[in-house]
Amino acid sequence: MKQMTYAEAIRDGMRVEMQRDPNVYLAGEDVAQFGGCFGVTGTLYDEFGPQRVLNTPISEAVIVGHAVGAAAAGLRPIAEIMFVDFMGCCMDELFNQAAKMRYMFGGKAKVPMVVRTPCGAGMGAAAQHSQCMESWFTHIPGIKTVMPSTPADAKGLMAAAIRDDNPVVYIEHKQLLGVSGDVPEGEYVVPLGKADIKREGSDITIVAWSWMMQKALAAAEQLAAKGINAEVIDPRTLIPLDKDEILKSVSKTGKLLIVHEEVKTSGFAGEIAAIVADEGFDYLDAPIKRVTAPDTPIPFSPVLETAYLPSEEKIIKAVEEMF
Amino acid sequence: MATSITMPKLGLAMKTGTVGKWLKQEGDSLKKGETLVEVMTDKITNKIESPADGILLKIVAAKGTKLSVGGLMGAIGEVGEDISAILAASPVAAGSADSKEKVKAASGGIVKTPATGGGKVKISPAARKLAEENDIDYTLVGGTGPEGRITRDDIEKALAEGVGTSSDDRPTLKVMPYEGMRRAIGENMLASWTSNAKVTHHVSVDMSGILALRKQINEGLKDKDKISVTALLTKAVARAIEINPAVNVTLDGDEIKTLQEINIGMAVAVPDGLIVPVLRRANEKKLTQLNEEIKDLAKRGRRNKLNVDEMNGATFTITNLGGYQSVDWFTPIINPPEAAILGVGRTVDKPVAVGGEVVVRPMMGLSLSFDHRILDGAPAAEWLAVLIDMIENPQKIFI
Repeated sequence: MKQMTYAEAIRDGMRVEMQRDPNVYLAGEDVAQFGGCFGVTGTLYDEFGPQRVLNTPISEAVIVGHAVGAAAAGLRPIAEIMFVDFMGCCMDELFNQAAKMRYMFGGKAKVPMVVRTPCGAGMGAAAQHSQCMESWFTHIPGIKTVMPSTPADAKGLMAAAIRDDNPVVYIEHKQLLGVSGDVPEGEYVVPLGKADIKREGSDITIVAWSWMMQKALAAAEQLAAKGINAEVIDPRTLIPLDKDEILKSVSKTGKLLIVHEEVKTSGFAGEIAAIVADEGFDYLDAPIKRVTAPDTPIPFSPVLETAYLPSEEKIIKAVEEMF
Repeated sequence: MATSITMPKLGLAMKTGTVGKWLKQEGDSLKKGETLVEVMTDKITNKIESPADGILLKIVAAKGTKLSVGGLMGAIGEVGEDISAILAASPVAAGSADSKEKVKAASGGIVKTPATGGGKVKISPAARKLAEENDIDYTLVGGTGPEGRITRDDIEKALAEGVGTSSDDRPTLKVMPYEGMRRAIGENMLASWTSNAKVTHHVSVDMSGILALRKQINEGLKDKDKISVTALLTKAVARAIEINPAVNVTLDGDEIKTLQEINIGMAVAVPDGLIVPVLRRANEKKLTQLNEEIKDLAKRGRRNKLNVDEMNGATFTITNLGGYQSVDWFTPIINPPEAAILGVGRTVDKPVAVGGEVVVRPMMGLSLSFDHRILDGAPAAEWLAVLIDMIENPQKIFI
């Protein structure tokens, strides 16, 4: 184990896989000598050189489009999009090309690529640089969606994403980049589709991922002081989703709260709620509740941004209303 | 402008009421004053009138919901009118308790609210499944979850307590819910039976004197003004208590109090049970006044038109089965916090010895039940002797 920040853990995950497999390479805006807009790629250029760490033009369509072709031809690209908010510029490459190719070629082509991109609010970066949009990707069959909440998961999931033969959108939260934690050294893989119980409890199941995972854990500690023992589950990957772990937990607690930072309408909480209502109806002892951002663009004003974001207080209030 | 329908205060002492049957459905049009909904307290069921003209837009409190006075039961207004302000203003269960146990106590432990909403029982899927697996009638289980929803815990508790279960599979002709006034009577009777030391004295009294007096008083009077035997008996009882207040007592904590007022409760059979309106200061009232009051209370009682205050404050109760001509003596149950109750049986001609001769006299059975914790057999017998003297020598009632 080694103490690393979330950003260092992502980098370590890429480094180990690049050492393992010469087909793995990294491409994006300013990812080489500069080390990435948020410093995530760091020294990888120095370690692996210009053949493996490439700066690209300022064109998301090029970044993702070239990766689709490279992956179909046998490489394993990691493409970095500077903000998830910019995904609109390369959406056709992702959802119509990357996601469809393996199916349309009857399985003869594989598209083993990773799109790394940061998400999240709380930095005063306003409506176009603060979003969480995981449901954009979970709604596309053929794409896997990964959202780590801890440094260790960030590393292990990066390895699994790179080794996967399908396009994976790997979403890093900007608020988590500087968070430190114990991370296994060397090769470390967290399988996609395996949820993690971050806190065991008996009274209510809280499902949350990415930054909201940390908020849910903090809320759970405060709830424990009030006599409510919450179980906090981190699905870690939304597609594939470990619904069995969620259903198992709800069968124990009878109550489900889902927390996410993206907006409520058509958010992924709705999908989880639907699965549990469908397959776990008889477990439910209370209506399923969601704590999410409201259906509005993210405000620039720091005061309004704080009001916009799901918080520990909002989670605690929602839980208390279920008892 | 929409109007709220709130839990009325049917008497000074009333704090909560239970919503009974809604006589109108959501969407029905209403005229002000039209009967709308029944409200039950532990003593009476009243029909509540519509406070306004309009459409019954929303039933907020379904049958069985227990509300504080002023609590929102529903809303009346025009079609499509926004009633969100009314709904938002409706008080909700306190949720600020700082522990899970306290939250549960606040929402369910104190005011037990049957989990109904819009005529449908609110129950969580998990609770419903558990109830079905265990063959529990969950409509009989009180919900402690948000909005009175029945939760898994409630069913587990009901299972432990045996609520809602029935092992009786004999065919039935009719099934009535054990609720409202019926349940209130049941619970009060059982509470009385198990909380005091009841003894009953039985005796026969000669009614010839009082019947002769009644005939004399009623001579020439119109039927509607005629004094009833009940009125004469009530007057006799009140006078007997005035002379000897031994039965006009109550146990209050560690004090036995002899009460100043002589308020006679009068048990009246009504279609679904029994109510006990009160004749206040019966000893101070003229016979004609008492006679009128008895008729009025009984009449309004049978029509469910009494208010709660008319049912509170009795110090001694009379329950009369004489009219059925089938019972001489019985063992009435004391109406707490009173200490005694007088059961009146039928009056029938019987052979009795008077002055060494066997004669036929109209004899009436009396049964005095009293709480032996605070009233012994001897003083109860002494009081009964005073009453018998009043009845057999009715002129003494008026001395």
